[in-house]
Amino acid sequence: MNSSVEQFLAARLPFPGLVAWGARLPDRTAASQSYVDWLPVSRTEQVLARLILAADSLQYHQIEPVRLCWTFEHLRFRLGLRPDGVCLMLVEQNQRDYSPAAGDSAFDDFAQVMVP
Amino acid sequence: MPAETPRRKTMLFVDDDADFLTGVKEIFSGMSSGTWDIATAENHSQALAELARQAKDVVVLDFNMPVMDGLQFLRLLRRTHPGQQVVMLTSRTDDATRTTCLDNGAALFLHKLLTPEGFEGVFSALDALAGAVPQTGFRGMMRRVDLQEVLQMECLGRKSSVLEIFAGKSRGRIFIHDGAIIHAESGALQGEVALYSLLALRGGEFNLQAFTPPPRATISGQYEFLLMEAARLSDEGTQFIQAGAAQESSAVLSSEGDAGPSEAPAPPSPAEPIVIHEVLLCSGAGEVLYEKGCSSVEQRSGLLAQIEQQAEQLSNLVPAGRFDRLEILTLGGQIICQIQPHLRLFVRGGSDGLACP
Repeated sequence: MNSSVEQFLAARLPFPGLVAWGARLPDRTAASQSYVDWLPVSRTEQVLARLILAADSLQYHQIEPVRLCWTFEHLRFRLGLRPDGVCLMLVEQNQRDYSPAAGDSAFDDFAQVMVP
Repeated sequence: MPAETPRRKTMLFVDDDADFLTGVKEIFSGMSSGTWDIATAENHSQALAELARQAKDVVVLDFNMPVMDGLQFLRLLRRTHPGQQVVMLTSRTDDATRTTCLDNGAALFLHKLLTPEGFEGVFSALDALAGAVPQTGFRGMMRRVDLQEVLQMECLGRKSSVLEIFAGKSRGRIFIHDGAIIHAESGALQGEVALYSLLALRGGEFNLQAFTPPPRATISGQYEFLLMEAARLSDEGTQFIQAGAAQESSAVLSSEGDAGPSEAPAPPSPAEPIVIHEVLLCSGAGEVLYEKGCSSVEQRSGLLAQIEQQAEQLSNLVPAGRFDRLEILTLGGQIICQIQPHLRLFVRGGSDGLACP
């Protein structure tokens, strides 16, 4: 994984309510981490791959997403897509007092991380 | 003791046919034995001037008039003279015209028959309407009032009423019975979906009418929770659009080679009005219940089915619970795909002027 991305992730994550994250670079290298026992890292990588696949499939409907949020009863899966192919996934708890602010901020800053 | 003199009923007839107005004035003056005070106007300008001079019990409008037809004038009167009794008098008898006029607040829709029987029928209807005992309470206009506030007022007072809402081409009704919201309808939508769509409107007009039973009760639960849910949905939509503005700024910066990571992101632009471009509402079985602006209903239905399938695959990977919705932010706007057991909803919107997929 690219060092600037690693530095960004180490500095910004986790934040309260974050269950896991995953990131993928254009060269297909990926990194992920889980903060809970019930979601192993291997499963996190599968979720990331599934979300990216789902985002790609939207192009068949002439939809080009820059950010997606899959809301389930207990979890929210959020995926940010940069024009250069870098992706960041955040898995957050969907609590009653859920606020997207921390995740939004992470996505906004992630969009500016330089990836050579 | 002398008998009390009956109040003169004030009527205003608006018709571009001067001969008809002359005839009406003569005939109805005679029929009313002088108890009617009849004014006439040949166009909307004269009518507004007459109404400014003296309030009328009833305004009678012809449908076909140049410049501003009767229907347009009826809508204008709803805004400028809320509560004004307006009767449409026209030679058109088709159901569509009748329904449109009554939906727009006409008290009566009468057929213009130029026969003695026809005039008698019109006279008796207008006389009864003008003589109806006015309802107690105030009548007027409230400006810059949220629908939530009106609903809260009605529910807190344990009132029974029907709240009619008009906003552009959107219109709907919310039925309140004994302080509880029991039904809502907006176009083809009914129930809570209709309620939330009406409460999401950014502006328009409303009219509180006396309660009439709805075709069926589709909403239950306490009004506080319904209003809170409507507010939550509205807030989420606004936050997502604002996040989109920020993301759009960031994406532009990151795609420019000279812009380094230390450069501060551009502040998000103020949220512009959200314009809904497409709506598709299907039943759980896939039957289309409501559609607006969809270039291809099949394609959008297919998208909803695809998302449902993908959500199921995610659920198989992680114990996430029941799937609710997918929100998609594009550079051109926002898409929400909601999958519920009994309905599937696709909504595509964006700030006005932005190109959307």
